[in-house]
Amino acid sequence: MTLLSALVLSFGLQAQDPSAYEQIMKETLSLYDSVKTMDDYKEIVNRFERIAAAETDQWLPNYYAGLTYIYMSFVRGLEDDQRDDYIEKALEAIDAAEAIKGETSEIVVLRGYAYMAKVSVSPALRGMTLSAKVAGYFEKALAMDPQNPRANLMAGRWKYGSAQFFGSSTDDACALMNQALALFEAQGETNSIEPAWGQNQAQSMSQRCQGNK
Amino acid sequence: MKRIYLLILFISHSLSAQTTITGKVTDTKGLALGGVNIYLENSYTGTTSNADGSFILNGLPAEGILVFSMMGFETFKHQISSSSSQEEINVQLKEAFNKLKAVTVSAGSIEVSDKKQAVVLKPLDIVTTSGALGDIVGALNTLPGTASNANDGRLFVRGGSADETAIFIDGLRLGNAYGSSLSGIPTRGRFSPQLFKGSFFSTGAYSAEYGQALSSVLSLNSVDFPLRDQTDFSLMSVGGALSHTKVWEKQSITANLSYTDLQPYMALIPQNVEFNRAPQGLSSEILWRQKVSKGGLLKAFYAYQYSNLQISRPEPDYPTGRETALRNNFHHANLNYRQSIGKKHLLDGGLSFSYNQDRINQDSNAINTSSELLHLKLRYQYFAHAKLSFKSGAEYFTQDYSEGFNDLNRSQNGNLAAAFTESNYYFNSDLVAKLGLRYTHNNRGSYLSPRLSLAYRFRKYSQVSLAYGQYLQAQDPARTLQAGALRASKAEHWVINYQYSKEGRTLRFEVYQKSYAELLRRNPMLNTGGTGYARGFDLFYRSRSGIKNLDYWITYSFIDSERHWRNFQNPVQPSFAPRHNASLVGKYWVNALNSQMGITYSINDGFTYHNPNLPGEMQSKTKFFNTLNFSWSYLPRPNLIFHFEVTNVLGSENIFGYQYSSSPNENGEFAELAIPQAAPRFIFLGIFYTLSSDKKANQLNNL
Repeated sequence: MTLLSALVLSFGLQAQDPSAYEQIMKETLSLYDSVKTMDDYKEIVNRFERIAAAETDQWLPNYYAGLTYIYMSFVRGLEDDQRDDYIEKALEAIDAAEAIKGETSEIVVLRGYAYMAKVSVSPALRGMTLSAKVAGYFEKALAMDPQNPRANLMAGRWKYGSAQFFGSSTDDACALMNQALALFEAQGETNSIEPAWGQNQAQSMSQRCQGNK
Repeated sequence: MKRIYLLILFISHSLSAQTTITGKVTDTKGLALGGVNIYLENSYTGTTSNADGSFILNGLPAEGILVFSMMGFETFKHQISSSSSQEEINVQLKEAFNKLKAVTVSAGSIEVSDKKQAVVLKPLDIVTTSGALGDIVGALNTLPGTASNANDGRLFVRGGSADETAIFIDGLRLGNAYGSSLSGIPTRGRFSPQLFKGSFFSTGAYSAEYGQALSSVLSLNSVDFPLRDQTDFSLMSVGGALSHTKVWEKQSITANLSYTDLQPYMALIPQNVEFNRAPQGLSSEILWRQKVSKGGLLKAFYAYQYSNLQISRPEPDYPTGRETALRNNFHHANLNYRQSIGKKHLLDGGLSFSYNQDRINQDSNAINTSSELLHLKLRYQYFAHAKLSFKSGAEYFTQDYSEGFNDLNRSQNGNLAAAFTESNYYFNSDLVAKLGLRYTHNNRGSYLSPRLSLAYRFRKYSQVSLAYGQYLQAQDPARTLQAGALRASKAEHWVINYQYSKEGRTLRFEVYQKSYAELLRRNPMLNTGGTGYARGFDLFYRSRSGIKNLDYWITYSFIDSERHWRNFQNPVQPSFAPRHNASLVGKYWVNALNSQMGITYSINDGFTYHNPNLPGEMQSKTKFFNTLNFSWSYLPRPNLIFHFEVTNVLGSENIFGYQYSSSPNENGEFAELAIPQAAPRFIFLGIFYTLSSDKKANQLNNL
C-alpha cells in the first residue's frame, strides 16, 4: 500500500501545483524521523534539491537542503575535508534560500549553524577566528526575531559550549535554552512545512541545565 | 479493494505511455557513484543511485531531460529519447573543477590564511608564536627561507639583504616598513597583526604583480569590514593601548592609540646597552571602511608614529662611550578601492604615501634624513571561466630621499613606472600554469621581466611545483646620493618545491638558485658592476595532529651565498646570511589551565664579519647563535587574556659581529669590540581586555 501511494504521488503530483508542493514537502520532511545513516540523509537532501530545482520561487526546499547538509557534516567517521565540503554545500543552499526569501531570522540562524559546524571541524584552528562570526549570526537572528525558538536555542547552545570551555557560568546560556523550550511548547505541534526543528535539542539541553544545578 | 483495483488500472494505463530508465553512474575512472541525484527536470520525479551506482527510474515521460547531479561532480543532462518505453544508459560524471581544492603553486610562496587546511601558517600563528611578541616579521622569521638576524629584527630572505624584501598593504607599497632604530637595537614591523586578515609571503620567484624587490615580497591584506562594535584595552609592562571600532551598516571606523615606554621596565631589568633615554613610542591609526553600492569597498588607512631613544655605548674609537639619540616621525596613508563588475571582473587600486623622518644626534652632529614614497596602482582582473583568469595592471613609484649633516644638505629622487600582466590556467584540478610579464621603466632604461610557474599534484596529497622569474629593484636613493642615475639591480630566481600535506601534517622541501647582477658597488665610484648568488634548500615540517592540543613546526634552511658588492674587493659571504639556520616552534594548549604554552628555539651557525687584523675579507665568523623563547597565555575568560613572555630564557650570550677601530694601534692592531644583544633577555607581561556585544571576542590578534 505504501508503495502504491508513493507511486500515485510521484505520478499524480505535478510541480508548481501549490497543494502538490505542500504534499511533497511534508512527505520529505517526514523522512527525518527515520534517518539512520548517511545514505538516508543523501536521500533527503536529494529530494529537497529536486524540489528546489523545480520550485524556483520557494525558499524552503533550499533551506532544508542546507539544514540537511549541516546534519551530514556531523555524521561520524568523515574526514575534515569531507565535512568542509558538506558545510560549503549547506552555505550554497542557504545563499539560494536567502536570494529568494531575503535575510530572515530563520535563515540567519541556519547560517550561524553552518559556521558553528565549521568551527567544530577544527576548534583549535578555527575557534579563535570564526567564533565571533558564529556568535554574530545568532545575535543577529535573535535581534531580528526574539520569539524565534531556534535563534534562542542556537544562541544558547553556542554560549553553553564556550561557558563550559572556559569553566564560567552557564546561566546566560541556560536562560536562552529555557526560553527556547518555552517558545517551542507555546507553539505546540505544527503541521506546517515552515521550520520547526529543534524542540528535542531544546529539551535535552534544558535538562542538562537542570542537572548542573 | 475496488478502489485499489482502479488505482492499479490507472497506473498501468499511465505506465504504458511512459518510459523506464535504468543504468549505472560512475566517475571517469569507472568507479561506481552512489548517492547521485537523478531526476526529471522541472518535476519531483527522481531517485538516488545505489552504492553500486545502479538506478531505476520509472514513469518518465516520452520527452524530457534527465539530470544527474552530485556534489563534487559536474552535472550531466540526458535527453530522454521517446523511441522505446525501456532505456538503459550508463553515465560517467566528470569531477567538477573547484578552485579552492585545485593545486596551488607552493614554490617560493607561503600563504598565511584560514582558507585551506593545508596552509603552512594561519593568521593566528603570527600572534601565538613565542618570541615574536606580536610582530608579524618575528613570526615569519621561524619559516623556511629566512635567516634570523635577532639584533636587526628585519626580514632577511635567502641571502638577500633586508631592503630586498618589499612589504605591501592591500597591494600598495609601505615605505620604511620597520620602526627606525639604531644599529644593534632590534626593530619591529610598523603595524600590529590585528589590522590584517591574512598575508602572503614569498621567498622567491613571485608573481609579475610585484616588483621593486630583488628577493622577497610580503603582502598584507587588511581587514575588509569589522563585524561589530568593540573596545579593546591593554596594559603591558612596556605601556598601554586603547582601540575602538564602531560599525554602521555601510561604514566602519577603527581608531587605535598605543603608547610604549621602556623606561620603568629598563630600570628593573639590566640591559647590555646603556640607555640615556629608553625607547619610547606613540602609535596611532585610523581605519575607515565604506561599502559602496554593489560590490564596491573603499578602505582608507592613516597611521602616525613617533619614537625616540638615546643610548651611550662604547665603540672601538670611543672607549668611554658614544652618545647617540634618535627621534623618528612616520606617516603612512593608504587609500584603496575595490569594485567588482558582475562576477567576472574585478577592478581595484589606490595610492599609498609614506613619509619617514629620522633626526639623529651623535657627538655634536645633527644628522637628519627624510624619505618619501608614493605608490599608485591600478589592477584589473578578469575571470574568463573557472579555469582561466587574467590579471593586469599599471603602477607608478616615486621616491625622494634627503639627508642633512649639520648645515649641509643633499638629496636624491627616483621615479619608476611599471605594467604587468599575468594569466593563470588550470588544465585540471591537479595541474596549473601561470605566465606573467612585467615591464619597468625608469630614467636609466626599460626592462622586461618574465615570470613563470607550474604546479602538479599527484597521489592526492603530494605536489611538485616550479617557479622562475626575473626581478629588479631600482637603486635605493639613500645609497646613491649624488651618484646620478644608475641602472636597477637584477636577480633571477629558480625554485623547485615538493610538498606533502595530509590531515594536519605538512612537509615541504624546496631547492632554490638565485643569481644577482648589477648590484651596487663602490670602487671607488658608485657603479652597478656587482654580482652575487644564493643557493640552497629549505626543509619544513609541521604537525598538529600527532598529540592532542600540540602543534609544532621544525624548519631548516641552508643558504650558500656570496656577493661581490659594495666596498668589497672579492666575493664574500654577507654577514646577514648564515649558512645553517634552524628553528623549532611548539604550542601546547593546556585545557585544565585555560592556557597556551609556547616555545621557540632558533639556532644558526654564526654571522660572518670582517676582521682587519687578518688577511682577506669577511674571513671570520662569530660563534653559533641560539635563543630559546617561552610564552604563556592565560584566558580566564574569553575576553580577558594574560600574556607572559620571556625571550632567550637560557641567557645565551650571542655575538652578532665585531667592530674595529678605524686605525691600528702602536702594535699595528685594530682594537676589537663585540656586538652583543641589546639585552640578555626581554620579559613581557600584558593584560588584554575586550568589551563588545559578543563576550567571546578577544584580543588574541594583539599579542
